[in-house]
Amino acid sequence: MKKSGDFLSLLNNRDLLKTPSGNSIVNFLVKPMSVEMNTADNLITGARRQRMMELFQEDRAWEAAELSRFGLSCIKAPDCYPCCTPFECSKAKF
Amino acid sequence: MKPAAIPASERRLAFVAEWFHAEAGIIRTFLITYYVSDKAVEVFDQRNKRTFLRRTKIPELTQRDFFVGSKINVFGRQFDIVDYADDTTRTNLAKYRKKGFVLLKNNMWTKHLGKFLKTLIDNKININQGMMVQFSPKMVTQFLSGKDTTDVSSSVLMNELLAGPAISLELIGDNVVETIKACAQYKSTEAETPSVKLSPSLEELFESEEIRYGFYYSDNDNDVEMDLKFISEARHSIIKECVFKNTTLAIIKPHSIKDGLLGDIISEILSNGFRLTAMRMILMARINCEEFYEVYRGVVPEYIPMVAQLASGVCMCMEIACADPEKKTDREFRNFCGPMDPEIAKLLRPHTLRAKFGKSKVQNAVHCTDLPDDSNLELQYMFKIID
Repeated sequence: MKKSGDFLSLLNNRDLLKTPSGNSIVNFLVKPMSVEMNTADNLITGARRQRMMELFQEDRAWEAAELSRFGLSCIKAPDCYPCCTPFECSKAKF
Repeated sequence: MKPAAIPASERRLAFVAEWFHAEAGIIRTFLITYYVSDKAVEVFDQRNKRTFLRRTKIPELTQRDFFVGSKINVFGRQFDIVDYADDTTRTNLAKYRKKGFVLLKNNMWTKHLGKFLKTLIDNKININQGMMVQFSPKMVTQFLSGKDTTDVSSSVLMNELLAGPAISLELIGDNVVETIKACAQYKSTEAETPSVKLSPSLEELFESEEIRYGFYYSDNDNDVEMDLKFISEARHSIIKECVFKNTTLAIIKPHSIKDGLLGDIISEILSNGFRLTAMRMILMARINCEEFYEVYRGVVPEYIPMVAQLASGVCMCMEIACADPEKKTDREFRNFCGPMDPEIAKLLRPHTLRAKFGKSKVQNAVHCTDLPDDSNLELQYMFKIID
């Protein structure tokens, strides 16, 4: 591994754990830190995804309620709105 | 192995492009050929003397994406176009496709930015790069050094640039330097007769004295090169810092920029109670797009095409703040953008950005921050982490 005066810069290396090193600081400090940071990042991302899913569910519920007011209640899947094609929209009564 | 034989009658553009191999730390040279008829791209590896990518249609790329100095993304690999590869392409493009540089002063862009950009785009002048800059006295002195200006005009320009953030723009177009010069000198009796006749829309735009005197421009190719070099080298020192307080991130997606909607979208944003506090245009690598959209993986089924769209070209990143500081910017702007699906938006929220400019759930014109807590994260990613 290329020597680096700033060991923390190695944390950005995606292949750090797969790269052998004879440096004890890298082996016993930087690599464990990398594992911990990856774990923390995954936890944070997971929490964000959970909140995002909840937010999108709220949006879809609102959209469904609004669409039903226009008589368009034939949503078949959360991520698909065939009723809202231009053809279907032309049949909507405002 | 040489590239496949090409009929003489078929129109194509050939460029020399470079790709930086990050892992190996080397730059590799490729020959990129764009076929105008079917929007196909062929890539030839010059070092290994073999076809790297056979002729393949890439709908995201258009002819206007190909010029010396541009960056293109071909299936996730970013190429920098550095030169023309044959005399035909050079003859057809080099004579006319030139770079220009303008610096929009604070008192002008806060009122007329969208209209200014829209008019340039309508007149076939592309915005290749853009960035909001905040000059310090030292930096503005460096910027103005070497300019052929009088002490008075230099002092006036210095004061104007220090009055507030400016917006630097790299322009690409036919005779763009002469065109911008003619715009700036429109209605001036002292200037010599312009070599370029302005279109009616440009004349209408530059009727306004505020616009005409509201920007600095490089009036020759040498100055353009010098100014662009300065902005590029000093960008870390002069880029306008994000506020990070009651602000949110907005990204105008590549398809909107390619469709010429940049000015329209910015006009819509600024005329609906929002203001820009930071701005930059970047071409993101696919890996960065994946990282940025990581939170949507598994949440929306369009994750992969969303990544592909964001990586397909230059996008405009903006920090947005409400004109009314009492309002929550992230919520207000998300409501202003509307539902992710433009079809839903057109029916339920017809006055939103995505209803007006979106085409599909993937090409929905703009990205906005969905989660309130993510605003600062996304801003830091776009303005601090990505170089």
